[in-house]
Amino acid sequence: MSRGVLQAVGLVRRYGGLTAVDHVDLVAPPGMITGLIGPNGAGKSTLFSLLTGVEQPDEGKVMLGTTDISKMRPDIRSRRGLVQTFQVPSLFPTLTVADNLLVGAENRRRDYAGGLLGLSAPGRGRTSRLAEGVLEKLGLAPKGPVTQVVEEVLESLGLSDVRDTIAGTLPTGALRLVEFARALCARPDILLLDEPASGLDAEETAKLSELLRRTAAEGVGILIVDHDVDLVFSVVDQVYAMVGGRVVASGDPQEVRGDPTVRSVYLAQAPLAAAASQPGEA
Amino acid sequence: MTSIDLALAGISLGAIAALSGIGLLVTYRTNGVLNLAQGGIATLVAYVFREMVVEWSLPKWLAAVIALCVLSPGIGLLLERLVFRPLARRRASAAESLVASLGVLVLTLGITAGIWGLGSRSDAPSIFPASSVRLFGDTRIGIDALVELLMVVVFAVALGLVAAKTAFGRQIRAVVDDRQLAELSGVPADKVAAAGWAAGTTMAGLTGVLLAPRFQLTPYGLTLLVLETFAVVVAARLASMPVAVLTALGISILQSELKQFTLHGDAGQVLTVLQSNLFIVALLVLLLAVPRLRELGGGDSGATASFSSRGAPPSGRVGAARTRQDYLGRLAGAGLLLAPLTFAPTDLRSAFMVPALGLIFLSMVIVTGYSGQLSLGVAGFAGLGALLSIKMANGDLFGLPAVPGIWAMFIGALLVAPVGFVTGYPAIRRRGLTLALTTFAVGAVVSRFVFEQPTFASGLYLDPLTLFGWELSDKAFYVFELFCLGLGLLVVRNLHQGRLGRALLAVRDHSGGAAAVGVDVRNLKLLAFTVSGVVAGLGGTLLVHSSYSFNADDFAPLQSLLWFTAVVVFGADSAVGAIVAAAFIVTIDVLAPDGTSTLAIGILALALGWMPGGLASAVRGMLRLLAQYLADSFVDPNQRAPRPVPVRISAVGHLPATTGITGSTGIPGIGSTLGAARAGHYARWPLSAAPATVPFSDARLTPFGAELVAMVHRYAASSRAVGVAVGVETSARAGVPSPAPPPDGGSFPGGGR
Amino acid sequence: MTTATAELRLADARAGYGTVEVLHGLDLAIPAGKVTALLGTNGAGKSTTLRVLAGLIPLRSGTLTWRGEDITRMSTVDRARRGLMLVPDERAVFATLSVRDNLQIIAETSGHPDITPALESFPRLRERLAQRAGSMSGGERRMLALARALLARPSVLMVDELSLGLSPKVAADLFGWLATVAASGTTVLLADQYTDQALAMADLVYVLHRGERSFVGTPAEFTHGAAATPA
Repeated sequence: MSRGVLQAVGLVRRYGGLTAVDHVDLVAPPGMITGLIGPNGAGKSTLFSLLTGVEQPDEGKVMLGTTDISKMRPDIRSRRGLVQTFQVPSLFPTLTVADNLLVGAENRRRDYAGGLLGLSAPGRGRTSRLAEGVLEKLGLAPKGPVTQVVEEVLESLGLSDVRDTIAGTLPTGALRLVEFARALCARPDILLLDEPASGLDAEETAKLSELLRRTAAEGVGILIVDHDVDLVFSVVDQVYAMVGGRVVASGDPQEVRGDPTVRSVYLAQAPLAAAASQPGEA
Repeated sequence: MTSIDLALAGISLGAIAALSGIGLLVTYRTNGVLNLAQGGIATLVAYVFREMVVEWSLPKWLAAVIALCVLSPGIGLLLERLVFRPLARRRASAAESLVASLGVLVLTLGITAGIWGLGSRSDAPSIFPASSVRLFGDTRIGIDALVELLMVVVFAVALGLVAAKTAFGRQIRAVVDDRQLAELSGVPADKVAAAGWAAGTTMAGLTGVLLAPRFQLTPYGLTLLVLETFAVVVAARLASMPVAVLTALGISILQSELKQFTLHGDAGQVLTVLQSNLFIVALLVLLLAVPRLRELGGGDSGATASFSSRGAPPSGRVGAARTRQDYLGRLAGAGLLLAPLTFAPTDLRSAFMVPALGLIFLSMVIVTGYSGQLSLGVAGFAGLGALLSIKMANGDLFGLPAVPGIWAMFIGALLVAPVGFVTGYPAIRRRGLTLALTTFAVGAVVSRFVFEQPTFASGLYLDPLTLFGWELSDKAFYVFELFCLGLGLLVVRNLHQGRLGRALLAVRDHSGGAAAVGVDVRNLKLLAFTVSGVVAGLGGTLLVHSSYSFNADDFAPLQSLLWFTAVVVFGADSAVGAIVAAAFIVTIDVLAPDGTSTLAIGILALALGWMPGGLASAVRGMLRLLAQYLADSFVDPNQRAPRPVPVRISAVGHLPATTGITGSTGIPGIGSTLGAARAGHYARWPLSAAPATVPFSDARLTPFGAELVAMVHRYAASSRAVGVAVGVETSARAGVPSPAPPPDGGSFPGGGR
Repeated sequence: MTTATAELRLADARAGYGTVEVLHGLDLAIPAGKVTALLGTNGAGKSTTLRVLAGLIPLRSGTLTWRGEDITRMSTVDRARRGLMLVPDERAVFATLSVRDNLQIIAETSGHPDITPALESFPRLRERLAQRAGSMSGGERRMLALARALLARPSVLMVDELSLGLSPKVAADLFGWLATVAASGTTVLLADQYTDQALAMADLVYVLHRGERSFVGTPAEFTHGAAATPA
């Protein structure tokens, strides 16, 4: 495990008298897909915010690899390899799809002052920034790895057609995919996906789950929160079920699915829905 | 005077501030709009009241009734109907409403200045007799203070009861929470909102009429006084009426109490300023101290994307194509800017202002247009740049040696950088409304404590500028200005392209999303504010050299509001728009009487409701429509399918232009199959973004028509439209049930499979 | 489908946002006392149709009649007060108001200022009366939205994407509740993506495709039609 493991240790978050997240422990290892399910109001979203750094825990800590990242801002966590997507896609609507991805790919470099002087060449490492800038201005610069990453991701996700489309004009399904692509461009160790399948239809969802497996196979750890039970159980390697701010069951998807608490609270008493989403059992 | 006497003297002003605060809260709590125009409306009503009493000799009571019971609520109803209802209807962001209220402010200022001039009047009538009542011993309190206090209590209690205890109060809260849902629930939202506006503007009018006799009546002076009472609503966190009232009285009494102290030296000077400016200091301190305003509507007031509609020039081939098209425009623009060199000397001197103002406007493009931060304190930066550079040239700055004028200008501008940086700090955590008020307060404090103080701003002199020993002639100075403007444009360009430009726009478009992929949101905001400060400082220096003197009024806090409005009107993210705005204002100021340019900007700002994205965007839209119209008229009508393409509404709130001519149904024999084949692909990825020109291979076009169509497509593709191909099922229109997609979405009928 | 029993009738309706037309001459007839399902993918125009029926978006051309009366120009408020009730897909409750106020408002405007029927249908809301609606979970907010609609005693109840963002169990509960409302004789119009729940409930199915009607018929015809086509 050379890549960082994401670990929540005894996380607690309270709002007034309500404990939204109550001593939660969670491990999302690299190369695996971890699911997080639970009924509405179980504390999934809060836990998610604690992991991404949008909110700070009252107790406990968040570890990435061997580093405690509990106090870090979201953008710092992201540069350390913890990249998230949002429930409502968070694309930059006025930029083209390619530029959206570029923003993600360029995330490891922050020397914005160079750009102010007009030297905003994509990072290539060895040559000095000044030389890079001059070369690029003259049109002599080879394509940098940043641009390459973007092109590869566009290619592999089948987004080349919308490369130059303004992101704000895309339909929901495509927005989700582009946001996912942008997150990939940031070269994450761990991907946090908040309801990636909401608003997608069956075909898009199928494609998404294939994409998730492919990504995990490349060694990226994925934590996924979603209502789509079918999606979650079909792709995850392990799953956590939350109820009332606590983790009530975790581990192998089939075991969690069979857990009595999970069945009663979340799955079992939904005859119609169960029939719709679990054709295998119907 | 004793402390008690001073306190009693302060009560009257405090009560007026409280009334103003109540008015602001009423408007905010019923409409979700922080009415920046409160000051402008107050001033307008005060002027009308004075006009009726002094010029028309109406009895005071009649004038008061007309001003407060007819005019003031009338203004509110009019504003609601014409300006804010349309905004609410399309669920405009809080930032848009803020700009609209700025537009109203600028408009009322323009009206007042246009009718009555900018001069001051000291004969504003008071509605109360100048007598007083004995409280105890020798302590007396004025009738005015008593009645004002009574009004505050009555209004506060009455409004509080309505809000908390009645069904109407509940409806008010519902309308503010979600106007559309309120209407769906049968609540007459328009009436509720109108009532809120009428009440708010009535309080504004009352504030103006009561304040006017206590000070010299000038359009800008009175407006600013009312704006300072925003401290009160900030203390109340935009919610609590009792807190607002108590804060108003507290600040006012404290300010009055300060009068019994005298200090010597620098401290004494600070004290003197505090004695009349405690409200503005309180505004800044409260904004920095109050953890979070209780903003309505989820606090989305940071979203400025609605009036900055464009993204960065796209990277890669599309961007390159567009750059080439832009050269012609740039050449024309440069030609126009050089034109004043051929003017008569006096006209040339008038034109001096254009590049100077242009630079100041560019600084706002950086902060607001590109990085999405509302900044209402630019006049402070500009003034500081001017002051620092003059002092440096005079050899008067911190004992530094005198520096030749031109170099002093650049050094002075650079010295503004730290101020911009520090102002940017609050911007890291603050957004929208809070940030706008904070930057405004910074500008106002700088103006009061620096520009208006003799220690800093007197004894300044401007030497003729020299470069390498040559004295600059008027023409040379203008060329030098253009050089500075060019520098500014270069900076703006660099901020708008490449990695930096993308990162800034990412912060503007979705700061959460930007942080999620590791963009350093904090440093980018600081960078934007710092660079903006320097550019504004340079502009301010040039402005002073254009008018040959440092005049504190040029950098008054209200200027910031006026300038900000102008920039938004001409397109907050358009560098060209900024320069056009500068030329527009200067030209009108030279040709027309006082207040005309203000009036024009105000009117344009209100028209923003109909043209999101500003003038620049409206012009772009017009061109596109025109081109489409032309193209349409060159296609054989039988071949045309003028059905607009359904495109998802973008998150920008500004609809993408669609090419209404990409329909494919008109093509004989293709329509139905194509439609069926497309059915399953719609809204699915990879997107079926077929080249929009395909359907036209079969259409009969005149050569010119074909060229035009191609142009439209090129333009549309390079600006923002997507060519989403249209497939329409003709069978459905004929009423025949067509095979519908099955529910699982896994297998679709049609040509592709 | 017979003309006589149509409660709501939309004829040749065109509507949209800004420069974009979303509905391109849509014809709909909603039978009285029945459940009609409006199906289609994202962007097919379902929400727009409902918003047109509720009066939130003006028609550019075409007419809307309600029990024979032309209400094309009637305001949203008047439609709501006369019993045409829309539960939108998002922002369906007043987030900053308490649950009680949420219920009270609609009870008062509809002239039956008693909120107990809602609490009887959704006992869970009783415990939450003093809570801010925005602090409730998505499922509870949805419940509150339906409870509000119930208090208005609508003659036509329109629900946009009932199941959106809900866990399967909650969605099933709410569909069950809606079935009882429909059984009591209220005309129901459901907009949804292709879901079994909506199909199972419906008496009549419309499928929208890009702002036009691509299918109308019974659920059985819909299912057979889908099955009959080569996959």
